[in-house]
Amino acid sequence: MASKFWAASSSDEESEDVVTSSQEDTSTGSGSSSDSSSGSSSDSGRKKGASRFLMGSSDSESEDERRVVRSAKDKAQEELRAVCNDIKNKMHINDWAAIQTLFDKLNKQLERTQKATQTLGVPRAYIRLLCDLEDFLAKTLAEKPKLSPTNTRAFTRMKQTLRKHNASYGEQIQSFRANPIVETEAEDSASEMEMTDAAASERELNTDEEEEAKFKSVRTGVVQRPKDKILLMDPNDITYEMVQKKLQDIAVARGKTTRIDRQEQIEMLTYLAGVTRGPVQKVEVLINVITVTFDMNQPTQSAMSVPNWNRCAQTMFDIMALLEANQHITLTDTPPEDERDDEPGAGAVAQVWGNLGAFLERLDDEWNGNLKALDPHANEYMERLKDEAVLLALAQKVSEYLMARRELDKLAAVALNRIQHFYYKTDVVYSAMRNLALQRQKDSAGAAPAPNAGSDGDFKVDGEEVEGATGLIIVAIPSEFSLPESCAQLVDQLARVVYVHGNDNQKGQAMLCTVYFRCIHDDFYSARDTLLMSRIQEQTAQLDAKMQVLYNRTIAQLGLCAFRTGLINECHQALMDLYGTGRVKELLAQGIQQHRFQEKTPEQESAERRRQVPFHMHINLELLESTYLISAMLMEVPAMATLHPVDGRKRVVSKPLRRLMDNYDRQSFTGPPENVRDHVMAAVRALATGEWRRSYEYITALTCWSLLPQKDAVLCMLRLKLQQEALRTYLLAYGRFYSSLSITQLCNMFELPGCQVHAIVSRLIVDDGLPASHDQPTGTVVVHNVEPTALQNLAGTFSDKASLLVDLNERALALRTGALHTDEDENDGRRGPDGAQGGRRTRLGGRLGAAGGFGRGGRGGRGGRYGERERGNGFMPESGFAGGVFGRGRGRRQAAQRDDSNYTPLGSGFNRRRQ
Amino acid sequence: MSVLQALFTLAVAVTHITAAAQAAAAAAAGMAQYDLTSVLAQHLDRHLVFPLLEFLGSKGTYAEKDIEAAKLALIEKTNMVDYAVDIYQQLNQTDEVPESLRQRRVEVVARLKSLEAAVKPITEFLSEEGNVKLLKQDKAQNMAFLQKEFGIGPDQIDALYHFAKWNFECGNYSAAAEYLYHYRTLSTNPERTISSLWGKVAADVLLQEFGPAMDDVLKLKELLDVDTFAPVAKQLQQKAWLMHWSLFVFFNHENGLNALIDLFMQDRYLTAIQLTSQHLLRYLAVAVVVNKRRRNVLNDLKRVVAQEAYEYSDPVTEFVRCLFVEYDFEGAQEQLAKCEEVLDGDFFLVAAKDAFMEAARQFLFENYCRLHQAISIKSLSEKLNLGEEATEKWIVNLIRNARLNAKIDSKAGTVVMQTQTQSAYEQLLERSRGLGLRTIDLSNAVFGAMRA
Repeated sequence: MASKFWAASSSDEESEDVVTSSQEDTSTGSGSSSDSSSGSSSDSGRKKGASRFLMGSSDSESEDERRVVRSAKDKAQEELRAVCNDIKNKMHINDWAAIQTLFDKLNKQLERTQKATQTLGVPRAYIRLLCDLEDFLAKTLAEKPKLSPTNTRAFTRMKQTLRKHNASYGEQIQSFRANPIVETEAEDSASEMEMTDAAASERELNTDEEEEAKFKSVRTGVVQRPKDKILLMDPNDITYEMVQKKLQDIAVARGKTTRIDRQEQIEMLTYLAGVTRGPVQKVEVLINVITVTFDMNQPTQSAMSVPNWNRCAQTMFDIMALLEANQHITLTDTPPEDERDDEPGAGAVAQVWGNLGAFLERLDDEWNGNLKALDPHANEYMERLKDEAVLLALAQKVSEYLMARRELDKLAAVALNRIQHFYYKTDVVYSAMRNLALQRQKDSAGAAPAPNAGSDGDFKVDGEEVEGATGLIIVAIPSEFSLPESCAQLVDQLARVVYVHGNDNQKGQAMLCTVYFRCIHDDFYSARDTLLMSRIQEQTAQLDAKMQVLYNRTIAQLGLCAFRTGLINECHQALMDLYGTGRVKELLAQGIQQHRFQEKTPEQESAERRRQVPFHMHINLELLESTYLISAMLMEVPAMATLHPVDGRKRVVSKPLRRLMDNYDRQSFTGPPENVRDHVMAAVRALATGEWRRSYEYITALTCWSLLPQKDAVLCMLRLKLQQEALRTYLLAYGRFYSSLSITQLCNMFELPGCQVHAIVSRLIVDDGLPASHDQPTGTVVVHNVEPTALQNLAGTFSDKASLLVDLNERALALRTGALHTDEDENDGRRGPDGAQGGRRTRLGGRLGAAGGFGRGGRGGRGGRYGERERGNGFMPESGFAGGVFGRGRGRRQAAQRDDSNYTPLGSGFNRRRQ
Repeated sequence: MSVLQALFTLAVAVTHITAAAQAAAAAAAGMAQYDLTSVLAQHLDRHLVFPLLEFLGSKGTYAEKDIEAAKLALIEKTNMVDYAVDIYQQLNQTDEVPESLRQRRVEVVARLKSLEAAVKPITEFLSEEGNVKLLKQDKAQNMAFLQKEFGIGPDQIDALYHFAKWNFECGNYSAAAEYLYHYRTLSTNPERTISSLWGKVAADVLLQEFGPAMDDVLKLKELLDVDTFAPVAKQLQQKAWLMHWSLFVFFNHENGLNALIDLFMQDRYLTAIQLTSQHLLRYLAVAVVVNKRRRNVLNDLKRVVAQEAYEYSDPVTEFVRCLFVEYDFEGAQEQLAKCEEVLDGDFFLVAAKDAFMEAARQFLFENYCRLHQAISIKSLSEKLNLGEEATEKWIVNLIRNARLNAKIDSKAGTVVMQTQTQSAYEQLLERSRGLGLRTIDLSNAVFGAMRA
């Protein structure tokens, strides 16, 4: 009978989970329920679901005979017996080690059996085994056969454990020894009897009305028959206690992950919500709807399905409406201790367990999770994105509620949540979203009653239909919802709330968000000052990963903003740390980067996946990279021109750029530029020879500029910067080949006005030590360059080395005597303006901190970077630069390495020979 | 801080009024554009704003009526009722006295009387010459002594403070200064002591006794420096106040500019300037430019000015920025022309105007020369706003004072600079200079350590 049912339902996809559940751990009821429902299935033909179950019942029966359904009790007992047999087998071959392990297993199995059969007694088979073991032990002791060392050890241990163990079963063993004849058949028949009994009792209940309900329960493998009664009752008969009891049942069932059909619970709850006696209970029921829906998925693994999400949102709205209408209901975090047995009166204060802020947060997380799972270029993503309006409306409602109830710490959390929906939006995006939200609000105002009906009425019918119905829920945005015209004002206002009421972490996040917001609105100075005043850059290491990501994103935006404003130096400082690590993607949480030398554990990987930022919040990496490289170029190229051999001081501005240039130089053939790096490299080459026009052409050829709304202004700024830097580079690099340069000619070459050329030349003379001066009457720059002879050069180096030696000596002595500090000050003084300036900068900290302050951005980047450096000690490039273009370069480099490695043994061989 | 408590309401009033005045005067001249009175007033005591307003009135930057109204708004909160009545009558062209003021006058006088009665024991004690000499250094001892001999307890001393304050409010500054001085010697309450010191500074300034005021400012600074446990915001505010108040002293004291540089260039104060009152950079810049002996702080000034350019700029700071950061001589020239006007309209700087213009011109020229090999005198005279003849004289003077290594080529009409580039040998010498001495020091230290 049973097998027929299973075979039939195997066509249904849900059968699988039923089989597993019943095989493994369903209670005694499961056997009987399958029994009864199959009985009912035989006479039903009118129901669509039922007829499907019946189909193909005959042929599938023969198909898998292997499957036999047994009750859990049977199964447990059988396993117990199997272990007993195993032990007996081992006894035959004197394998005590195996016996020992099996004995442990047996004891565990015994416990399980006791649980399954819900008896405290011990099966006879077990007792019999104990007896046998005892006998065998005694026999072995007497005979003393030769045993291997492991076996002997196991034997002695077994002897002790068995003695102890058997002491507790002394009585049963005695009785068994007295009467060992009772056989296994008796036990078997007993269990058979039980089963038939249960089946019979079930069959009595099996009336026509309950049929479909049973179908449902069978389909999902859980029995909740008693609950179904309430569905059939006249709503007027349902009392407060009944509903309360149901609620308790559901609450008790929470957390037991596998057994419950949450879909059904929700149906039940939504029905209950319709029949409650008063608003307090209704709120309770609705809150339960939300919690149960939340239980339906594991946030770490997969996001909530859209219909569920919609339902949650709608339910939240309902709750909000109820709370608004009934001011006496308050939500508390802790469940109230005394149970209510009746709906409190209208005026009395009622406390209900629930945390709207937490619900909202979870809903938000699910929404984000859902977006992360979707393909960002598909239409679905856009559709889902539109739901943001719902979230915002909900958040607004919740914060109004919290404000009214003065729950200020939660209010801060909600405000922060709202900020996080706004801070990354440019004005265009914001107004688009606003229009969309308003449109939707208008739509839902027109069709207001419809979704409510859908959410209440349809659930109680059938599982299939419910799923269809929930898909159609369109969450109505209440008419009170409003978004102000200006986003800035809103963000500011929300941030204020967080600053006043939030905790440190929230304040930090709100601050970063406002900084980000100001950055994308081109308000560089106030953004930077806010960031610096917060001093957050000093404690990035202590922040949690989420905030570190936010920090990194903020820094990236700050860099972009500085670039747009034309502050190249600031831009470079901000982005330097991001690009210094070569793991930008990871730092911004915009995709998973694979490292060649680093295996990530699955936990690390899933953690990384979880902190990813949804696509619509991404910062364009191509734009970011071009911005960084160009700003590095504008600073690096003149610096490179300065470090001509005269003084060996090398000042590297940007390591990544230098590395790129080295790679570029190593190529035998250079094709036309293809990607960002190629373009910038070509521009660097052109700029290094002062050809700003070509450099500018390469830069303008980059496609990412079209992403900037103020493209023209930025390109104009770039043009000017290129002209200036080209002039500087040109003078520094080629100045010594001239005895004089005409200012007008320079003006023509670099298309700069005369006064600007004059100013730049002046600055070069004063700051960078260009050996030249103006000649005002003729309008020229006169270069007095005296090339030092080789001897002079050497003498210069020698004197440098000598002074370095003395410096080091002084230091060594100072360390000895412990007078390092004063000595350092002296040194600074001696080094003159340079050192003094450095000291100044650190002293001023707060303000100028811009210089060093942006640093320490990398999340965990520090450790990682050092690791890389150690590994990359020799010839491997840092992983960040493993891009395709440099494939050629790498090939050559490996060859070089091989040469080198050949060389080393040769050298050592040579040494050996000399010895 | 009770002397200062009334300060904020006042600031608002003044800002409000000057803003209105500014709008009115904006068309008249660009001068009001750089007027800092309203900003400064936020950091000053009521009474200290009076001189500023008087000055503005004499300059005629704003309509006289606005100034009078501002004065009235200012004075209504003080106890100088008679003066208020005067202004009121002048402003409204009437002879009648408003009822509120009349009533106020009665109250003020009554309060003054009652306070006077309360402090009578002390004033009597202090009025006798020999008595003050009886007091010792130790304040606690003094208290006991006074209590025993003259029946002067803490209550009377407290009353002295209030009496001094009331006097100050009434415009009776000299009495206030004197009482506050005595209060400070007697009081044991540290907060009140600071407060009384503020009051003393204000009174000294208003009495134009800048010597004592200078001493008091420095004392006040020491007290504030010690007070590092106060909340950061309060510390900042107090530093800002101190700097503003000290402007009165520094620009009127003979060695004031040095002291100003010393004070403003201290790290904490520089930070305070950058954070709360960037407009003080104007005064700092003027002080640095005028003070030729303090060239070493120029680098710091350059940096701060360049850094704060986005928050605050006026012709003075712009001049510094153009000349020292951008090397834009034409720009600096333009700014310098504007500076003259700005300095003329600034209460504090008006006295330093000539010195500043002279020093600035010299800076400009020096820098210009440093970068040039030859300059025609004609263009130079344009730059310096002097006649050619005068320019030549000026240059000769400079050369004679050995500030400039140059010669005049009168045939070509140019100044020729001697090239200042060092030869390789010089460079080498420069680099290795001191090595020997340092090594000897080192060896002395090592062997000395070994012997010991």
